[in-house]
Amino acid sequence: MTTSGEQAHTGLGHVSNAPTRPGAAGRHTDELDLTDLYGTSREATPDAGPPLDEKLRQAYFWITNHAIISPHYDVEFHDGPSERIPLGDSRGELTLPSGQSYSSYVLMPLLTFMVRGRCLMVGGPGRGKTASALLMGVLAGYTPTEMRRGMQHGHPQLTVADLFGTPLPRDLVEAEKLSDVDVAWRSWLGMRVKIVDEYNRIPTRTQSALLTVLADGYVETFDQVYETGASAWYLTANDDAGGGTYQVIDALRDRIDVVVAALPFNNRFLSALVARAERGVRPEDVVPDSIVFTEAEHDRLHRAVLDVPIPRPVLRRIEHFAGQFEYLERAGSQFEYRTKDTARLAGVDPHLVQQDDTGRDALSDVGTQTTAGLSVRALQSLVLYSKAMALFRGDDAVGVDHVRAVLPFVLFQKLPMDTEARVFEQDDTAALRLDRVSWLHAMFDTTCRQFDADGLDHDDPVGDALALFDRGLDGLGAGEVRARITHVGRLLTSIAAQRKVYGHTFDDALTLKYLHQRYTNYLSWLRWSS
Amino acid sequence: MSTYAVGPGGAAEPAPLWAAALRRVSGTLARDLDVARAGGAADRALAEGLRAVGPGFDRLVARQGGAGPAVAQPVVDRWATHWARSVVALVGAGRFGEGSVSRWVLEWVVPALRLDLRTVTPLVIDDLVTAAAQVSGRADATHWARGIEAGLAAWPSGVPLTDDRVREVGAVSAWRAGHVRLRSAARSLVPNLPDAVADAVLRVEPGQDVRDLLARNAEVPCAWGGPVTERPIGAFRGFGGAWLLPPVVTGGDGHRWSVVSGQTRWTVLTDAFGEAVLPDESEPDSDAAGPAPRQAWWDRYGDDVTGAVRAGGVVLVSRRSSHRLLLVADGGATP
Repeated sequence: MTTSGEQAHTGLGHVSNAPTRPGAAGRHTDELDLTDLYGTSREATPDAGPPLDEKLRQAYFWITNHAIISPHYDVEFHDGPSERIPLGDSRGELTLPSGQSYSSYVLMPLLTFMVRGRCLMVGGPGRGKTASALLMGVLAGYTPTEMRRGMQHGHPQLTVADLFGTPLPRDLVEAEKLSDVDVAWRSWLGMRVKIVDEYNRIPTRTQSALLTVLADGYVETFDQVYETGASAWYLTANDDAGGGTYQVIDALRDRIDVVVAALPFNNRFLSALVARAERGVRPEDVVPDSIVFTEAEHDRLHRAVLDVPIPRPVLRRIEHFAGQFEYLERAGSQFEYRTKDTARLAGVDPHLVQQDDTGRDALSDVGTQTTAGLSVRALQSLVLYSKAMALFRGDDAVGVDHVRAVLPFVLFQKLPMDTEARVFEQDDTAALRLDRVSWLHAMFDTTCRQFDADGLDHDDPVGDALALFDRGLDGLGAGEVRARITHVGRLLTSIAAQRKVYGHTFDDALTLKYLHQRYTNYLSWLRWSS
Repeated sequence: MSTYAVGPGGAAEPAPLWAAALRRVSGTLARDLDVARAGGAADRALAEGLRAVGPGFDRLVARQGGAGPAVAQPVVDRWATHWARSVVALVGAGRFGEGSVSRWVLEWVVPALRLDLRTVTPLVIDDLVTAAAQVSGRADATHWARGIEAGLAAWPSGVPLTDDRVREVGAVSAWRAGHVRLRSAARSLVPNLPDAVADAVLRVEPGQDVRDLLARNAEVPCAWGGPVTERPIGAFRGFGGAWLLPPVVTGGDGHRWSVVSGQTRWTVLTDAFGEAVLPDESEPDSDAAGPAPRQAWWDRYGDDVTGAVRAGGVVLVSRRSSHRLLLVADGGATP
C-alpha cells in the first residue's frame, strides 16, 4: 500500500512492499500471476525474495526514512526536464529532479557496501557518521553489539598490537624462532564490514600498518599472516583537511574509494529527532530482517556489480574526461614528459608551470583547474562505483548519468584543485573553490559538452585506429601495415594542425605513437621472417 | 466489503482463546512491539489493534474441532503469534486504521475461512493481506473474499488443504471478482482445484459444467454462462478514468484491445468478469495499422463512431462524443 517507502512517519519495522523504483527493470506486462498477487513466491529457491537491487533500494529507503534523518536529494537523476528555481541574490539554482534522487550521505556508504570498497565519511561531531557505518555492519548481518565490539576507535596511543592482535605471551618466551609465535588476532579483522572511527587520530606508524590491511587484505606481524578477505571499510573523520591529531599518510588517503561529507541537519525535522529521543530506541537495534544481506547475498551482490556492462560510448566519455588533467605543456621537453607528474617530481608546483602556459583557454580547459592527473586507482574506483550505481537503480548497463552521480565522491580527494587557477577568479565560479562536489560536476559537464561539440560519439578516428589494431595483426601483409602507419602519421598531422594541444589530444597523440611503434615492430618482424 | 462490516462494538466482544494465547506468547512479541513503538506506533493503537482481532481469532479456533479440542496448543500459539505480529507490523506501518483493507482481512476475512490450522500455516494471513491490497480497487473485494470463503467451505475433506491451495483459490476468486489481469493465471489454476471448489469459487449455476464454461469463455472471453452484457468501459480522467481525450479502438482479439487516446496508446483488457485500462508501454509497431477508415456496419452503433472492432463474439466501439468505450455482443453485422 506504500509507494516508495518515503513516508516519514511509518513504523521502523516497515519495509516497502511496493517496488521502490517501478519500471526499473523488466518490461511492462498486462498479465499478472500469483507472485504479483501475493507479493512473494513461495517456492523455496536460493533466489527467493526480492532482486538484490530492489533489496538495496529497500535498505536505502529504510535508512533514510527511519534511521538517519537525511532529507537531502543531492545525488540527482533526471527523467526528462527538471525544474530549476533561482533563489537568493546570487540566483543559486535549486533543482527539483524529475527522476528518483538520493542522499549522498546514505547512498555512498551503501554503494561501498555493494562493491566492498573503502568509504571515508567526514563531518562535524554528531552528524551520524558512526551510526551510518554501524548500520552498514548490521545490513551485513552482524548484531549492533558485534559491530560496536569490532569498531576501531582512532586515538593517539593506538598501537599496531591494539589494532591487530598480540603475540601469545607463552610463545614469546618459549618460541625458538619468530614463526613459532602465535598471534591472538583481533576478531574485527575477519568481519565483512570494518569500521575505523576517527582514523585521522591514529599515529602515523599505526596508519602504515592499517594501510596493508586496507589495501591488500592481509596483516603481517611476528612472521604470521592473517588474510582478512574482501570487506567494506568505513572510516570516519571529523575533519579530513588536516584537523586530526595526525596527518593522514598519502598512501592511506589514496586507498579510499569515496569520500562523503555529512550534510547539515535540516532543522525542520527537529520533531523527528525529538520523537526518536523520546522513544529511546536505536535504529541499528531494529533493522528489519528483510533488508539484511547474508554472506552469500553479499558475495552475489559484488559479482552482480562486476557484471554490469559499460557500453563503449560511456567508457569513451570517461576516457575523454580523465584525459584532460595530466598534460602540462611546459613541464617537459620530450612529449611524454609534458605532465604535471614531471613538475611534481621535480619539486615544482604545477600551478607555477601552468601560469606560463598562455596558449590554452583557461576557462574552457578543465585541465588548468587541477595540479595533478587521475591515478589508475581513481579510475578503477570510478568505474566500479558507476557500475554499483547502475545496479542500485536497477539499470542494465552503466550510463553517463550513473558516472556523473558518483564522480564527485570518488574524485573528492583524488583530483587536487588548483585553487589559484584563473577560472576561479570569475564571480560565478568563485564558489567552486569551496564546493568540490559542484566543481567536479561542472568539470564533467564541461567535458561532456565539448565531447558532444566535437562529435566524438560518431567521429573518433583515433578510437577507430585503436579498434582496428585490436582486431589483431595475424595475417596482415606488409602493404596493409604500411598503409596503417601512413594513416597514423596522417592522424598525427591533423592533431598538429589544431595547434593547441589539450589533455585528451595529448592522450590521442601518445596512443598514435603507440600504434605507430606496434606497427613498425610488426613490419620489422615481417621483414625478418620473410 | 459492506456485508462484512460491523460497528466498533465488535472489538469489545470477549475473546478468551485469543487472550490466553497472547499471554502465552507475549514474550516472543517483545521485539515486534519495540520495532513498532520505535517507528512511532502508539501503545493505544497497538492495544486497540490486538483487541480488535481477538473475536475473529476465537471464531477461527473454535470452529476447528467441533466438540473437542481439535488443535494442539502449540498450533494455536503459532497462529496467535503470527496473527499478533501481523497486527503489530500493520499498525506500525500505518495500515491498520479503522476501515483499512488490512484490518478488514484480519478481522473478518480470515476468521470466516474454513482453514485447518494444522495443515495451513499462518503465512496465509500475510498472503491474504497482500492480495487484498492488490484486489482492492481493481475488483470487488467483497466478492473476492466471499469466493475464497465459499471455495474453502466446499473443500473436500479427503484432500489436504495447504497454503498453496489457498493461494490458488484466492487467485481464481480474484479473477472471478473482476481482476481481469489474473485471467490467464486463474484459468490455468482452475483444473487443479477439486470440482466442487471450482464451482463454488466461480459461482457456477446448478446444471452448468465448469469445464464447458471455461471452454466457451476461451472462445468468447466476455461471456460466462449466458449472453454478453452490454457495458461501458473506461472514463474521462476527470471522472476517475484514464483518458484525457476520447479513445479510439484500433484493434483487438476479444480480450486484449488496442486503443489510442490523443498521442498515447493503451491496452484494454476485457472479459466476462472485469476490465482494465493500461498504458501500452511496448515499442510501437511501425507496421501497426492506425484507426481504420469508417465502415458502413459501424452505423448500427451511432453516427459518430470513430472505431469499432469485432472479435471474440463482441464488438468494442469508440465514439467521437464519448470518453467511454462500449462493449456489446456481436450482432453478426457484416464487416
